[in-house]
Amino acid sequence: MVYSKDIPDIIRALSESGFEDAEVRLNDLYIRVSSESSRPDAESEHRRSSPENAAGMRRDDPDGERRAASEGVPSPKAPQGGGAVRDIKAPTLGTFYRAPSPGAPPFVKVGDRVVAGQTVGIVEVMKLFNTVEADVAGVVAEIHTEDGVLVEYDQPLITVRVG
Amino acid sequence: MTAVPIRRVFVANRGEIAVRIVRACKEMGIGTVVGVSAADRDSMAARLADRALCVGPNSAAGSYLRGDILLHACRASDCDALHPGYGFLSERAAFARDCESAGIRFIGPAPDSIEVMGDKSNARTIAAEAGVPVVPGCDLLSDVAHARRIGETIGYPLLLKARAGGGGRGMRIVESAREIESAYQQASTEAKSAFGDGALYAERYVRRGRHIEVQVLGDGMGKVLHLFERDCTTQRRHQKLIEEAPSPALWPEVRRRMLDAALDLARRVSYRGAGTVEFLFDAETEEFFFLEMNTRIQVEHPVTEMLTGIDLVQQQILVAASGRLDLEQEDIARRGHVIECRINAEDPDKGFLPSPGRITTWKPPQGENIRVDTHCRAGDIVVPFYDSLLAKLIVRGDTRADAIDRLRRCLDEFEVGGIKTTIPFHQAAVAHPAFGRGTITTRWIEEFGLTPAA
Repeated sequence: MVYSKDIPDIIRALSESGFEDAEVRLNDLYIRVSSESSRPDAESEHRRSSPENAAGMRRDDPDGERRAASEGVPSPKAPQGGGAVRDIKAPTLGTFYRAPSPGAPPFVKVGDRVVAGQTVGIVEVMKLFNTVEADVAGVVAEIHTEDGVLVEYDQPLITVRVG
Repeated sequence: MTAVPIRRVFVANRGEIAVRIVRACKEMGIGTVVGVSAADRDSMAARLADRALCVGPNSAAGSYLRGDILLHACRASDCDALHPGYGFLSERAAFARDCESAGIRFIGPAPDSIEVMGDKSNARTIAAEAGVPVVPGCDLLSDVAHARRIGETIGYPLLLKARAGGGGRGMRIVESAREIESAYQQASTEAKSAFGDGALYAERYVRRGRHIEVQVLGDGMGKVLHLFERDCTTQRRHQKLIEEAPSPALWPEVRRRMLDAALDLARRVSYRGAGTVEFLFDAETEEFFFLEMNTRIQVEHPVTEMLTGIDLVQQQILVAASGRLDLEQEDIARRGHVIECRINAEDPDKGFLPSPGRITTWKPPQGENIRVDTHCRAGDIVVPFYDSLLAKLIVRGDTRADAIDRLRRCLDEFEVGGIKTTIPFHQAAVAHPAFGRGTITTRWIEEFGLTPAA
């Protein structure tokens, strides 16, 4: 249960989080914190709802209780058994590969430990192979995309539990 | 070319032209996939297409100009043709070639046509070979004496232009032989300091120039048709603001010659699809000169569509699919007079400064003989990453006067809130007596300092 005395603490926590734009919805409570440097289009960017963009939406917050705005910034999620989680997103539109070559073992599996800078996948665009790297150390919590499918720019590929 | 139907078109563009292409495909029973930047994920084109794929970040350089990514998205989404719209990659011969080698039909002319017409001096040579008049002038001046000889040959006024030029620097209008020496020295010095290159061209200066262009369609095998002209004289710094057809400046005999010249050029390159041959028309001498050929669908194509009742985007798709043009010249007729205003997110009171922001109100005019091509909806945000075109308002009247009356009513009715637009400029322009007489030149807006009425 959230009490009105908690609101300043929530706002402080959001303000100190370093995000340009963040909002919290808890039943009837709605708090939105936005830094002055937010881009004018930031608001539109987290109101995507068309079905074809479903892959770009948060998977684990169907109620939209927590949602981070602004692209390119890793998003905090509702903790699942503790610890913050981050999405590793597609650096470009292309074909996602989980393994360095057909038949080879995948770069990572759920439960694997990764370090920052480690290759976790490949996105191929017209025969050019772009590596996808983990940007934090942690444990692979979820892999959202199958091998060999088209992914869009900025689409979440892998979720890592930080730590 | 064998006739293989097109099943699904990839739209490699944004804004109103992406919407326009999606609509044309839908009416033909063709599927659509649109490639969008992150900023355009929720755009009208993304909503109307069967599928939208986010191809990159907000910047055009990272999205709409990434031929490799667009082509990958096109193939991966099982499209068999790509429509490039206008701008972005529409006139990049290398991209058109990449599409064709990937087995994707490029809805546009052959890559060679794009290449040849994209090079100004090449295009000028081909035009001259086809017997199309080009602006009298020379390639490069060797010295003042050479400039003087050119002046004697082609007459005054003469325009001196820097080879490396741009933005009017290194440019001089020479009224008579007495001025040639000082003008040459000044232009050359200016060009040298601005661009590090003092080399100059000389050409006939057209004092009262109008911009008139001819819409053509070709089947790529020598059959070419014209769809009459468009007059795009109302420009600001070479940006077209108002376009109309027929041109109020052309007599039937001059029009005939201009249309024929455009056909001669299109035939010479066995042009395929929709293209536009642009001419500079000298209102004093009634001569016209080839400027360039645009090898794509133009922003102002609806003017011709409303005038003739022919859907140019569908014609582009049909030619790409079948390699045939089923139209004949005698099927193409004009009906009345059509005028188009480009409604941009710019503030005409502040030197046409871009005015991005959220559109709070969006109420376009309605009624018979009115067309509005737009991608805007109330609540949309006009982002600062791309061009500022919001909508094209196109009206038809039985006569030019009727069309102007209808246009004035529509501009008064067009309600846009939250951002500044060029609507007040258009209201002032079309109410101006010089516009009404049809006697303006391409320098009208700059010369008259036309500002919106209070």
